Amino acid sequence: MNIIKKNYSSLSFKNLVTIGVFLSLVGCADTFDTSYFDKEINDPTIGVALKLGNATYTAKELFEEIDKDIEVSETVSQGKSLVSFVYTETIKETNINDFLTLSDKDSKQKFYLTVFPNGTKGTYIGPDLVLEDSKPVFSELKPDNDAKLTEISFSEGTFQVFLTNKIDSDLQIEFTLNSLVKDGKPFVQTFNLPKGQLTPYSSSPKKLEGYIANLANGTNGYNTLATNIKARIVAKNGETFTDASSLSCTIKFRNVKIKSAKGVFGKKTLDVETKKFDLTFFEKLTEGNISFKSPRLKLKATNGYGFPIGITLEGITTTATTNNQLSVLKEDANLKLRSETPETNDYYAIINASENIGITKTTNIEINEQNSNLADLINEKPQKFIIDVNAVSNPNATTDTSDFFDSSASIDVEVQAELPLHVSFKSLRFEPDIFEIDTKDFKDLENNINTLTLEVFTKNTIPLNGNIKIQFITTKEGTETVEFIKNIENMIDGAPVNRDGFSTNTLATVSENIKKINLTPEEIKALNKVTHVKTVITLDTTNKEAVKIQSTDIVTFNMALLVDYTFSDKEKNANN
Amino acid sequence: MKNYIKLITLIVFSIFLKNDIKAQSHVSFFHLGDYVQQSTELSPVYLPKNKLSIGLPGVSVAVSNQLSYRQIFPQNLTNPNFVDFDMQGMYNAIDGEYNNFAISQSVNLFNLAFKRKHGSITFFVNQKVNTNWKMSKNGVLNILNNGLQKRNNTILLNDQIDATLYAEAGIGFTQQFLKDKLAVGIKLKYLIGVANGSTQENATASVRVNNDYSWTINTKNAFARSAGIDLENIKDYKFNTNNTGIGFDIGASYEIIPNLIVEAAINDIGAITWKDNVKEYYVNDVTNLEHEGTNLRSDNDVLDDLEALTESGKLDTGERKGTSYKTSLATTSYLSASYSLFKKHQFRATMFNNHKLKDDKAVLGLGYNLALRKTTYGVVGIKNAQGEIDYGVNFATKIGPIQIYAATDNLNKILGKPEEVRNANLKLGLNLVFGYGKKSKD
Repeated sequence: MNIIKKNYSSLSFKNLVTIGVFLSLVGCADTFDTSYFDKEINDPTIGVALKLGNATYTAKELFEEIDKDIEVSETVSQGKSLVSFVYTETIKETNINDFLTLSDKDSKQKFYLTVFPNGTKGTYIGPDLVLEDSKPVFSELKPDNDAKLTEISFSEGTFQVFLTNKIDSDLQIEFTLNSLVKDGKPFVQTFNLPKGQLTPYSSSPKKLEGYIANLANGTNGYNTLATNIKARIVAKNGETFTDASSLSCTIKFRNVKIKSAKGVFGKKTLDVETKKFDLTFFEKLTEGNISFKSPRLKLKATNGYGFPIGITLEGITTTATTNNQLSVLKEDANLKLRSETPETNDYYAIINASENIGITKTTNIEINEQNSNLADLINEKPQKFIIDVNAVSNPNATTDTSDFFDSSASIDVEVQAELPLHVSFKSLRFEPDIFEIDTKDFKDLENNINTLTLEVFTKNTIPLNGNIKIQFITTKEGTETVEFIKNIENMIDGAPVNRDGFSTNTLATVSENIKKINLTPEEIKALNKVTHVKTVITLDTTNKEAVKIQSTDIVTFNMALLVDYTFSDKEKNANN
Repeated sequence: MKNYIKLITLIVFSIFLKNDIKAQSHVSFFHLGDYVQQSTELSPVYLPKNKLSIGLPGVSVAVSNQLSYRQIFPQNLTNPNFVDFDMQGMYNAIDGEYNNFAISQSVNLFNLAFKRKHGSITFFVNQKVNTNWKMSKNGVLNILNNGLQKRNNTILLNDQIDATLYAEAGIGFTQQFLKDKLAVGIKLKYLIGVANGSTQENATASVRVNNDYSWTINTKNAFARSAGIDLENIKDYKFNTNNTGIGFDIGASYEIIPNLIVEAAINDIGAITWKDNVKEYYVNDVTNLEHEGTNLRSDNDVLDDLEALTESGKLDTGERKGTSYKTSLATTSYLSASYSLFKKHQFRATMFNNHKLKDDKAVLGLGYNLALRKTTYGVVGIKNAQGEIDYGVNFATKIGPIQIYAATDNLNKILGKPEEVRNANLKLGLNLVFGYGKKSKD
């Protein structure tokens, strides 16, 4: 108590001030306005960019990327490789076995006796006397058409020799078929024919396989079999020999298949199959103009036959509604005007003959903007080429030339439509196939992503300007609804070109082109519904004149995704 | 008299012109001087006014940051009930390359002080928590400021973080010389580390966001370590004395001319060696590791390629058993000059430095205290670590054997809007004091 009193008395005004300050300090805690700390905090948003990667395309690869179905190739021009679209189809002749056939034939010969006993015709009186008579005989062996054959080799079939004795004596015949040679030896057979044997006496059937028939006999020198018949006659007392004493000979050819033949085949039609091929490049085009300056139609023909073949080029057409038939305008080494009667204005593509059996001959024929209306056909953007041509042996032949035919050979014509990108494009639109996208991941991110930007950096040395339109589509019960569209103008900046039409840009010198594709929150939200994406690519060449797009021209893409991400587990717009 | 005022003015201006400030200063408390025995935490020179002081548990907290709550969360302009998380504002609010964030808390568990004829002797036990984060502006703040979305931007993570919980026990000794004009004080402390988490010095990790948003990554010595209590298995932790160290404080005061005293103190010199439960969380050194994304023409997944960055031989990360290491204490220093006018009016200029945060600025204080026999109170004008002017107050008084003391450097902030406070400190407590003389000669 004393202590309190003592201290109370010592409490001065200064002590009171001190206590006052202390109480103020403590008391002011109650005056804190802490309401600011009670406020809700909006979810923070942070911007993040992630490089997705990069891609480099040569011009060739770029067109391949537009659509996987487009076949892209390269064509050399002025020592540089141009991008080109190449479509190839091969046509063959059909039923080649019908070109040269030899149906069942009976080649008949007659052997008349010219040697008589004691040199006297009539009835022989005396002891047995041996006579010998030998001479060549000929008969025709002609194919089913008008071909003049000098030689045939067979792959199938048989032949059989029938002899009938009309000589009043027993005969021994040595039958040598000089025209039928196997392993270098002619067919030889000996027959013993008794007197009065009127029923033909025959050899057994022989297979023709391996035999070569030499038909360059007789007076015409073709289609003629030559035989040598040597007869041994034992004349007996009382037998009669006259000019009519003869021997009938028939050589029967059955089920013959010709392996090869030589001779003169003349002008004959070969059946050739009809083919169509798709020009897929044009299938993807919708609008805009394209002008190919140097399209080519290359025919690469491989001929195993020993005669030239002509192809009637007016059979090459397209599915375009106008300018749809090929017209050749002038002759060159293998493009010949048809000299028929009546004369036409059409041309044959002449396929050269093989020079040796078993060795094919290749003929390259080029139909281009110089010698035809091909450029006009192509610029109609046809979707199909139709090759419906006729083939003719020895077209325009004025004299008989010796040819050969080989049944194992063929005539193959590879037709190649080559469209080098020496072109001018004007708002040329490609519409690659619509494709599905999986947006299930976006459903999870929708509440956290405010904006989404795809930033694309490009460098381009291709002389093409490119715009891209991307449609985000919802398909439901067969109905398409476009949710939103993104247009990216000048996605790639076309490179300038020199006087020859080639790009002057290089990756080292060209500046970078940056494009941003921004998706708004509404569009991000709509992504949830999107099921398909459709793109439309519009290309323009950068020069009024045609440009030449080299396969080595390059465009590079660097892509990054920029996202404004909100850290939130709340439904968007629930609180703010 | 005029000369004294000139001298004081000169000191004050030279300090302010240096403009090199530190946080967690407790300048106002420092200005209580020998009135309160807990001032030995700030200066080992202690010349008590009473024979015996027994300290009851007192607390001290201090927070310093370049960013106020309001700068981080400004008012939403459309909805008054909301604030925004303004990452860009945070970034822009940082001057220089770093934001120095520091928070310290100390509990004075036991304190006993005896007055000697020419000095004093004290015994003390304290528990302290110090967290210092030298936050790189180009690091996390750069990322928050959409740094990963900025081309040709380098995110540099070279933050230095040190969070330490430790206990100290020791003895302090002050001796006067030169007819009591010079006083020298020293405190020796035995340190027991409880927990530490810190980054390796010179640890750097940088991500260069290139022009095309690809990344170039470099790391060097990028690892952090922890020791002591395992926060993941805190229940299994058993107290031990494996993490120990020795620390000391030294100080001196000198009365240059009558009533003009200069004083210097350097506190928390020393280190703790951490041996118990040392773990390192590391990222392998890489040089110019590139993330270019994927080849868009392949079927590769972009995220797979991103994950591949952490494959062995690249940004290999993991945890490993660490070796023992030392962490120095958060060394601070005070330099002060005081002038006592008519024995009751004490003017004091003080400069405080935190040497743990080497790039941090100094805190400057200029104060006045009415110095009575058992009571003192005063105000302090403070230029804080952010270069702002704060107003501190302090007081200590004795009612019977009970001494009450309190001090803060930020009265204006406490009375102002708390959401705008960027640094604050407060010390308060009670002592039992005995043996005051009837009247001090001053």
